[in-house]
Amino acid sequence: MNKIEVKNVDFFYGDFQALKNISLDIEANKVVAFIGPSGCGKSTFIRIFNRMNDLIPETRLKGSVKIDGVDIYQKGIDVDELRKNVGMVFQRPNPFPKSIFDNVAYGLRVNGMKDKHFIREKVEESLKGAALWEEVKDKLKESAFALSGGQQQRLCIARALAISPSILLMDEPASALDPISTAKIEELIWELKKTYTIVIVTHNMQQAARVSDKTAYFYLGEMIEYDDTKFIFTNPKKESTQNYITGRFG
Amino acid sequence: MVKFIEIERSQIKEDVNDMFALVIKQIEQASTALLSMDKGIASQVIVFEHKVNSFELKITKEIEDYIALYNPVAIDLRFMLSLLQMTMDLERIGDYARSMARFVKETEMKELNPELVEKTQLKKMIQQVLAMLKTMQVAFTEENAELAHTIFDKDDLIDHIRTLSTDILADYMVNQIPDTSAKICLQLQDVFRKLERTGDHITNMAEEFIFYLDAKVLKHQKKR
Repeated sequence: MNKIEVKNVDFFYGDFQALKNISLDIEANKVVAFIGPSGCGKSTFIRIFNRMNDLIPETRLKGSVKIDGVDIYQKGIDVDELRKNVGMVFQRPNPFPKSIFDNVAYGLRVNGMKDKHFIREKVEESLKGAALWEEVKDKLKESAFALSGGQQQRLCIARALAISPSILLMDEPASALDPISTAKIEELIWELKKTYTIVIVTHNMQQAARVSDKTAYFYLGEMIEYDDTKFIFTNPKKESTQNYITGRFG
Repeated sequence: MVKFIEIERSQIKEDVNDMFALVIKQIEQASTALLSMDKGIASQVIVFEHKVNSFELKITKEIEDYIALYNPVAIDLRFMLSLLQMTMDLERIGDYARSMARFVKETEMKELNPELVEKTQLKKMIQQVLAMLKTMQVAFTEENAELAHTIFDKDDLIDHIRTLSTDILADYMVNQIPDTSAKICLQLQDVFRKLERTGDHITNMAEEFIFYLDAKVLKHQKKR
């Protein structure tokens, strides 16, 4: 079964239609990249998977979005539970003004976890999962703001991992980072896909090429092409995709 | 380099190394078939030729994907460009092995005139070609530029033997030695040409590999 199934999705901000009849399937433990010029709808689309767009007034969605076979827009869905299952990492690292430890433990505590031993183990496991443990294990009490930008972003990934999601959404996770930190994030994505299904929005086409198994190209709210990343970057079927990835347009 | 890109790079190198091993085996088998005029071995060489071609297609696609997906630069770009060229050289050497096998299969002669084999130094030429190929494979595996440089000297002997063979075969044709028809001599001349071209392709591979390792362009230049 596919991890995510999207069928005929339209999305509106008021009267403006931001997404037009999008259908795609995402297999478990794959990395899927969304690429396209600014305003093409890729960030709107990724936020559909954890219903982040619900927070914006006057938005509405038509069509169906299923995760593990369950329509996440049907009545009765617990959105908090959905967001525990679908973690998100944003463009700019956004640690809380707390210690490194408390940042990672935050989600667990908010969800009612009080077992200190469990929290300690989970924090360590999440920091290891985010390839940050070795760098911070001796300064867990220090402020998260003392970390570099790249470390802060991995801390945010650890924070997302702590609540045991099965899907990770990444909205331009490396666009604010230097090349070394970017490489670490990309290597981390490669490791994380063994456990998680990852959807990433990126403006950096080379990044999409490097890290993803499949790529979807968006333009003006439409999904123009969705295929194996190898095919998209060596032999795209649509001229519009070719023009975009070769830098002739967009 | 990011670990997963390093893994892809190693995989492509491994595939080229496997193609290398197959091509060496093809030349060995074709040579054995030629020296013993064994049509059975020659048939095997012809059958296995498609595997060499399949390797070329597979590796070319892998390199295309690698360049498109990972945008290699500097030494990584030179590595991919050199692998692409080397794969083409190996494929051509595979073609020459098949040509030699075809000669064995299509001629009615039961054995090559031993005196002619001796005079033309055919065995020595084959040994030299195989030694060059094997040296090049070691240089490739160990990423050893110094070893790759030794290929250039070895090619001189091959060129020399081929030059001498022309006169010897012409002499046989003129004097119409029994059991060695003019047609056979012309076909053998073609075999010598293929072996010489094999040496040229191995030399090209050495140039390409040195270009990767040291960023030196040796094509169309004196190597020594």
